Amino acid sequence: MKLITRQLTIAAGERVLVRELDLVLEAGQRWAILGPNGSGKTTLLHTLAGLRPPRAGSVELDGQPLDALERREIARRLGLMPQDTPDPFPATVLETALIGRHPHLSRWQWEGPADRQMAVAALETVGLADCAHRPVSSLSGGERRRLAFATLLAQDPPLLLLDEPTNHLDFPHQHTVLQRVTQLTRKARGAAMSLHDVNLASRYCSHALFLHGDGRSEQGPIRQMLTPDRLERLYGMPFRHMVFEDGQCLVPWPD
Amino acid sequence: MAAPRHLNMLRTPDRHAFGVLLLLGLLAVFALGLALMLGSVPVTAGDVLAVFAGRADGMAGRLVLELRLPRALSAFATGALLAVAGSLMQVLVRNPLADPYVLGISGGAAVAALLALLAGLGGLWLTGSAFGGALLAMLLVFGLAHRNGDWSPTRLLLTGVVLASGWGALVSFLLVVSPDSRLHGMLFWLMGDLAYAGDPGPALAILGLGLLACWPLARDLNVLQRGDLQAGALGVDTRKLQRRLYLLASLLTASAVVQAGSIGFVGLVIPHLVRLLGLTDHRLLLPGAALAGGGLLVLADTLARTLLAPQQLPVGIITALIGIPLFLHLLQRGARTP
Repeated sequence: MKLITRQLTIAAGERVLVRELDLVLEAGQRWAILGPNGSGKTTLLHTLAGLRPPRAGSVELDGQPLDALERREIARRLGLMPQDTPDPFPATVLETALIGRHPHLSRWQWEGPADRQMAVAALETVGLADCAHRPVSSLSGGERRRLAFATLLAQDPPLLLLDEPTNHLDFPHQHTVLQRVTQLTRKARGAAMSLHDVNLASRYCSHALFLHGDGRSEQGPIRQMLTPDRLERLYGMPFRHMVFEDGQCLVPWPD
Repeated sequence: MAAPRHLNMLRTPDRHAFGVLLLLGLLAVFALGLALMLGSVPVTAGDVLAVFAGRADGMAGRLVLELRLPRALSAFATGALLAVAGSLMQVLVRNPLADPYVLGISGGAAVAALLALLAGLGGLWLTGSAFGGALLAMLLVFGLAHRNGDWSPTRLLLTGVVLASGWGALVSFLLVVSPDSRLHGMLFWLMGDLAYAGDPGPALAILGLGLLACWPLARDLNVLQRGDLQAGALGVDTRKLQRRLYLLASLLTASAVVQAGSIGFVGLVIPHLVRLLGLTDHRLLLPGAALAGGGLLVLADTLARTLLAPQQLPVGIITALIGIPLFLHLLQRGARTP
């Protein structure tokens, strides 16, 4: 698994969000995408997933340009957990997780026991196995996020793109989800996720990409990136570095 | 290793869903049987069976085979077409409130059909112009909503709804300027009526072909109903799928409208009814909707021609009278279960 962007420029309307980004995302890496609201984190993730054409430049997955690959083939190599998963029609929790197997099945194929087993295992990971037959509409906001993550787990792609995966989650589940991502990406898989919590980024991610929202971006190993100075420049707000006997954290600290 | 409590989750596919599908099939057969038996001259179940076994005496045989069977099959095909088209349309615009007419296809057909009725045309001319009107309406929405390649459900829905109200105004205009002698036929056409349905063959063929064309897309629909983004991320070419859905839903709707005018309610409520019964996977939902929609319309049409016999009612009134309480009951029951 290797994702490369070459001189990638993305824009929303007239506004250039990211200019000429060169990024190499390899197996074993977990990238945190950080930046203020509207800086282009989601747009970048959608572009990396091939769901949105870039303004300029290109994205390559395993040496092939993304736009030369079929949608289904892309979905077997990378998966996206969207920020929002609407469900206007009734469906059960298990059915929703099983949707993740879609790109792995041929047109006439039905989900087999192995597919179901993967979906059930994914639901167990996020603690929703007991609700498997409940309608999705009965879940809370946080439970729906966990279900979206379970759908991604059932898809089981080599590259995981996660758009604010910890949104709406309670603290234990924030860690469950990111621990699972860390476990999965130890060797053959990679991940990129947009986050708003710099301490989760520092604990679970190996690299960080900062988006300033005006086209500028910075990137590097997580330790180099997460300093109070750099974070202040990114968010326009002071940060304090707090050190304890057995750890440290970064806290936004308005004047 | 799955724990024992998960064993039933690993079974493919759901046994309950197949049970529901079987039940809907039986309902359709029951409805067709009833439609053959009831009428101004009742025919017993035994006689109906005898007719099909080829041992019919003249009168009952002709009544069943030449009068009641074509009409019952027309009703079945029309109901099934509307229910399938409604299921597709709801996923296409990602809105459970959509019905097959939401994009104005029946409006276009109605205007063309009323013009034909006004000109005193009937039979094939009426059918042909209704179909032409439906196609025109379909192309109009397609052209306007799809111009810049971006096909958001909201844009599609708004374009369709606005055009539908335009067709509605034209229909009112035509009704106002038409002579009284034509009005009765026009109103029946508008309310949906199977009395002039004619040969059910073409509609049944279109139903069969339509189902064959939809069924391979059914799993894609399961994904698309969760939004463009999720569908795209799971490998669905959403633009291509939406275009196909639009064409299929429009053609199925046009065929139904041509067969029996604008019968309301079936296309909106049957998909929900089938979902409430537990068929949420489109591979089962589409055939389920066809059976339920066809069965319900056959029952409704049988009532329409027997309730105030010899007077016939427009079947659209009956579909609403049966469908609304049935649907509200299921909705209430569905809300109570956890």
